[in-house]
Amino acid sequence: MNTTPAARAGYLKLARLQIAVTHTYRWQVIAFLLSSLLQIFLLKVVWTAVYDGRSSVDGVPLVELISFLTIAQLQLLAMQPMMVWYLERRIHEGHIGLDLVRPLPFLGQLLAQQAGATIGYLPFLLVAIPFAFVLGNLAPPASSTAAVFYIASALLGYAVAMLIGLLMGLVAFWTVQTLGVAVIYRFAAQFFGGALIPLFLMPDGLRVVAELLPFQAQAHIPLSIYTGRTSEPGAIAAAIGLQLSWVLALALLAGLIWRRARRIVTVYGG
Amino acid sequence: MMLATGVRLWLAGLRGALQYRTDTLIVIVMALVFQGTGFAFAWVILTRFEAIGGWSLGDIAFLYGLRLMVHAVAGVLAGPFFGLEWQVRTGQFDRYLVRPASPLLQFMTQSVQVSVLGDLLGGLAIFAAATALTEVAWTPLAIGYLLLAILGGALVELATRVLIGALTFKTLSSAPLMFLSDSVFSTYGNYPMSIFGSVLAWTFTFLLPLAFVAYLPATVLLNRAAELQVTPLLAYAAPLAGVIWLAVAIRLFNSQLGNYQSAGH
Amino acid sequence: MGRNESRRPTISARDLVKVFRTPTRFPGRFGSLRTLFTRTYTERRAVDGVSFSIDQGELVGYLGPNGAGKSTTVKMLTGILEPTRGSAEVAGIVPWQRRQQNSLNIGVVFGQRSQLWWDLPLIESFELVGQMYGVEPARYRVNLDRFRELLALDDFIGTPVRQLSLGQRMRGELTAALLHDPPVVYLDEPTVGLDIVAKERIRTFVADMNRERGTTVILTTHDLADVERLCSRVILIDRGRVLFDGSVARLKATYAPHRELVVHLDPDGDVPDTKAQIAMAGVEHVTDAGGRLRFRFDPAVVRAPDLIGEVASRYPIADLSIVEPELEAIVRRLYARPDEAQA
Repeated sequence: MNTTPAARAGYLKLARLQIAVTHTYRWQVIAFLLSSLLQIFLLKVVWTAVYDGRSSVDGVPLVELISFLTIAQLQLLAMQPMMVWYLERRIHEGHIGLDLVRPLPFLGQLLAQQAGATIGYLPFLLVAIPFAFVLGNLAPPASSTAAVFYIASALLGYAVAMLIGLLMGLVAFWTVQTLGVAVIYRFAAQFFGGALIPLFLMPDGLRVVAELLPFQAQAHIPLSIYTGRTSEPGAIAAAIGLQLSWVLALALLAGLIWRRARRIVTVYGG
Repeated sequence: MMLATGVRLWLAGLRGALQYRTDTLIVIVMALVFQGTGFAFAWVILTRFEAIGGWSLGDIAFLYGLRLMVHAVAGVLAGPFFGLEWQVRTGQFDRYLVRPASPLLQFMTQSVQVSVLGDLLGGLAIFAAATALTEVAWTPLAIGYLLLAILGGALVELATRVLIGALTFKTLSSAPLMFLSDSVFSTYGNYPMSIFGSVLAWTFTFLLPLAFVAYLPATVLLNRAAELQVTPLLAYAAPLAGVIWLAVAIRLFNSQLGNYQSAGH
Repeated sequence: MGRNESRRPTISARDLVKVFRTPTRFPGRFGSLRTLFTRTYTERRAVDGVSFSIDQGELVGYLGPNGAGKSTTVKMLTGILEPTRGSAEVAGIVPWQRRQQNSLNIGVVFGQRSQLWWDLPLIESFELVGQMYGVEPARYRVNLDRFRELLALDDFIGTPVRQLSLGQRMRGELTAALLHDPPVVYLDEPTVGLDIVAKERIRTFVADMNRERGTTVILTTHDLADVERLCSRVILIDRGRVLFDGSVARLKATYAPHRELVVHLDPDGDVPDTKAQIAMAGVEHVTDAGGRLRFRFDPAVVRAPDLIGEVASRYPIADLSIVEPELEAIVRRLYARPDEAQA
């Protein structure tokens, strides 16, 4: 990847642009924040009702469960895969040619923009965390070691999310409308990632499937470390190792598909 | 006259959407898959926990299937709204204001979200399974009420989109709010509101009329009207709410057209 | 034009004002964050007191640099925007108050945006438009056949709009806008991006429509060749105000009264010292290159034949021509120095 000073300046510019875009329309931002907060609030209501007065079911304390799922939601605030929308928009409008002609590798452009989008959303994380805390949704990490490994794991999870988002976006080169793909991806990523129902509460069949998919890297793995479910050094190493393998595999896949996609540039209009 | 125009515009929107043949199939399959996972979530919970707020798997499936069918019917006209903010910002919306038909009608019919077929199939399947698991007496009255409830619920969902869409002309942004309401409808509309507490239940009845989409009609059909926090009369009259909400929404949308700034030059 | 000669102008605009309010954008590093929390707005007066009246059958060019307020004015007249202040009437209807009724009287073509159904064959757009405007089937047939012939639509009338070239699409847009025989037509940059042949075809079409059917046409354009070819009257707008409203001839006479005499010298002739000036009032020796002399003169002061005679007596002439002032030059000057324009 091109890392000359000129290239870096180019990437920085793209990232900054996305940050500015994130902040440009106030309503968009406020509504998005509200959406996340509502999700956090309601997950507590639903799971409390489901537990029906019990404080723990099958060895899973309600408090830990809610904390697990809440932080998963907070993480989503930071991991917005904007690439799916961006690519679909650019291709459908026929502007993708412009992007490809810029003196920066296209993939690099996308990643820079994604990073910018994430940074743009970070302030909203700042609002959401105290809210979740006041609601009583948040429990502290299992230990300071857990906290440290959680951060590392969460970053890897972010990388996985970005790569999958990129792959979803690349699909736009072959289909014209990717809205369905994006929506399903969001749900599937959360569901199989263990962000909606923790994997350890799933029936065996589903859990096995989820453990074969990369989505667990985004929520289940880092959050299991946070809550102390994964606490032994061996287990933590295995978990982080799994994440690393997924990052590698997805990066390779993305590179392959990108090479194919480059040959197809469908421009719309006369 | 307006009905004839509307139908022809809608058919044109459908034909336009069907041009993308591979996409049509993919989208329908995707929608089916989506519904599957959505229901899987509730089902998984109910394998570990016997009931949610006293509603068993059959009851939840009933509610879920009903909501899904309502969502499908609403999708017949509600699809394009996510693109409203973009069309307003870029001035693409101009074209609806210079033609002799309701801009709202023209906008809604510009294209049809074919994925609703997947929603409909999924909803029917889940609902059918639910009728096997629950004991509902399917008298002609019940069937009639069901059909009206589906229509009324769809009008409520559509009205919500139109209402949020009305804001677009002033704020230039409505897609996120639509996502928000869509996600609230799609996830929390699947649960009996008895678990929500009175404040939230009240909100979902009178502010964001989620209750009328599926929950209230479901309580009537499942003979659970007694556990309602609001007067059962509201539940029986649920289909009417859709008509009222839509009338209000259309009024508001049309009144906001004056705030449209086109592309700003 | 027509038997009912109404005294009322077809289009009348009185003191139209349009102010756009946008949230203030702050520059700089944290500008985007400041924008988020700010409550101040920037106001932009896109149209600042525009008035004019246009009679039925006129073909008016509406000119102005980008951002001058042309599109905004047209959008108010077509009912897309509501003015901040002022009033307007088109065929007796206030456009933004009774949009749908106004629509029946107008046809609009946007050069940059399509009003056709993108994914469907062109013919289906026509059918939908016919249905929306309530055009009777017989009249629809007649009109469609006429457009098919005039604009040579048959080659691509079955093609989806998204596959059409720009020229083809513009012909389609024109047809769709005119199928219902509107008395008033707004053309917003209809020839932009087209090749010469396509441009000429559209210009001819517009001229014919105006002449034969008495359609009132407001043509917004940057292409002054369009104006030269089509418009008897131009309205110039800049920074939201009308700079000029009158005939093209008057525009030229008022702002660029000079014509030029271009003389080709006979190379075999006896060429005197070219530094010798023509000493005549109102004559200016402009350039002098490659055996060619150019003289700028004011026709109010010097008659062309007199100047020709004087020049011929001094120089051996092989050929000569008289050049009219270019509209483009005039307009360019006016945009650059709006204070030169009369109020």
